[in-house]
Amino acid sequence: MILSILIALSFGILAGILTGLAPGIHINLVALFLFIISTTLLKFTTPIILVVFIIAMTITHTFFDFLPSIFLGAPDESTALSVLPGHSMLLEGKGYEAIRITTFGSLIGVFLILAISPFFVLVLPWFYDITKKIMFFILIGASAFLILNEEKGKKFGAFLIFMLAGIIGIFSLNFYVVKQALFPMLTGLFGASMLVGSINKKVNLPKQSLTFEKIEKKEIVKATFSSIIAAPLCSFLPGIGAAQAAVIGSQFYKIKQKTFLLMLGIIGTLVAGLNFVALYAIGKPRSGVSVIVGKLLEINLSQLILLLIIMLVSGVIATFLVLRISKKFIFFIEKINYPKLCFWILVLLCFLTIAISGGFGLLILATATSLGILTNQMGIKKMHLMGCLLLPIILFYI
Amino acid sequence: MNLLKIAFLATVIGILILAILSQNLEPKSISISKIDLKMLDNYVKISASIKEVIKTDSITILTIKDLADNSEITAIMDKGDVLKGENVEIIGRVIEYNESLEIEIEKLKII
Repeated sequence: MILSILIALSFGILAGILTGLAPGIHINLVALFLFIISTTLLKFTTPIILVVFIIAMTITHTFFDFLPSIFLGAPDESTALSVLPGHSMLLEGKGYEAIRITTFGSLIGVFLILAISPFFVLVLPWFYDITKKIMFFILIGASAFLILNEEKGKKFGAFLIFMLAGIIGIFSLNFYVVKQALFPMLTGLFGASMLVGSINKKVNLPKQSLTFEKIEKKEIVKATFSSIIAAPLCSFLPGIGAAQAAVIGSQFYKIKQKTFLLMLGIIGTLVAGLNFVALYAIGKPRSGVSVIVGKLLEINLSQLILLLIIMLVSGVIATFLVLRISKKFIFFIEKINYPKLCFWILVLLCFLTIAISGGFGLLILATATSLGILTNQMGIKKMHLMGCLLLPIILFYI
Repeated sequence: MNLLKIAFLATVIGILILAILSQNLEPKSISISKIDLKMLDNYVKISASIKEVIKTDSITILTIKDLADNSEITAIMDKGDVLKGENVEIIGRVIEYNESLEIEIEKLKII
């Protein structure tokens, strides 16, 4: 049994590195594939071993997915907002420092999963019952809060962007001939639009430094506290992911750019972990991978404890791996022509869109990219583009 | 024309095309017997007759029978007024529940 767990853990970490680094290969896709072949796999192993693989992959993924989002501008829904602060640090030659910060954040996130879980298991069923009845108002409130948080003179622009993104979301998610419409939509809104900007401005990356400044303890405490408040809330609110949780959490204090990145790291991993704990606490999956876990296994308390240990071990191993691999990533990125790299990544994203979503996915990609560019040109914060998920969900609750 | 105007126009035109296509393009018609695990999470279009209707407080559970080859599958929808014996055209997502495949109905048209 222990040997099987160790093997599943190792392969899970490897899969997490792959899904984290490769834009377009999401953990949901791997988990779904695993589920499809699970009938065969379960002849040789048990459901808990497959779940160990999924958990190790998910936690490792949350450490590694900042690399493409910061260096290449190819985010998923949990790292979408890291593109902004992370990319601006990259343009200052501090890409490695940005990765160190998100990695440190993710590591804090892993320890917080262990610390919060007992409380979460006790409180969530009660809290979930209450919020379920007022979900519509919570989501409207959260959206209004994010829009009104925009600086003076840009509030209407933020509303417009939120609504346009929402309309794209509604049509894309109801475009039945397009598979995995989220991929071209999020890639266009957050990644491709930034790549187009870099190609257009002929951005050349400065030499990247491997040095870093220590984050003040005060900032770590701020980020941790805000994340503890925001992440558990957002781990069961539909449409509010790690990125929005970080924005909501950042309202508790005036925080610096680096502290925001630290929060993104903490919340990304914390939400990913708590999604599995929520599956145990309320029996409802809150993410794509937890849907698959729920189908494979009805988690009991002793299995939950094992899974929490797996999260901790994967997180610690991922910390060492991501720091080593990011140095190689920087070495690679310094050697190449950055606008050219952006162009080829854009081409790759188009091919991935066709492969994952089909030809009509390109229409979603192009429309979403245009809106992403419009948002940049208007100087509006990109977080309002998350209307692409929030508006369809709000309409669902009407 | 500056980039802002181009981006705005492209967004509006893109949304219009998306609106038209998403409302008019439908998934390919498929026989119920051809639905398998590989189609999990994909949308399908089925022509079937309703064999059984079970109404609960929150959802309606249908057993539907393919018009061509009589194969059957369970389909679920939010509350709806459908009757046993009616012929319907369904667009829905393939989901898995209790180790069997089902259809989560998005659109239902009585034919």
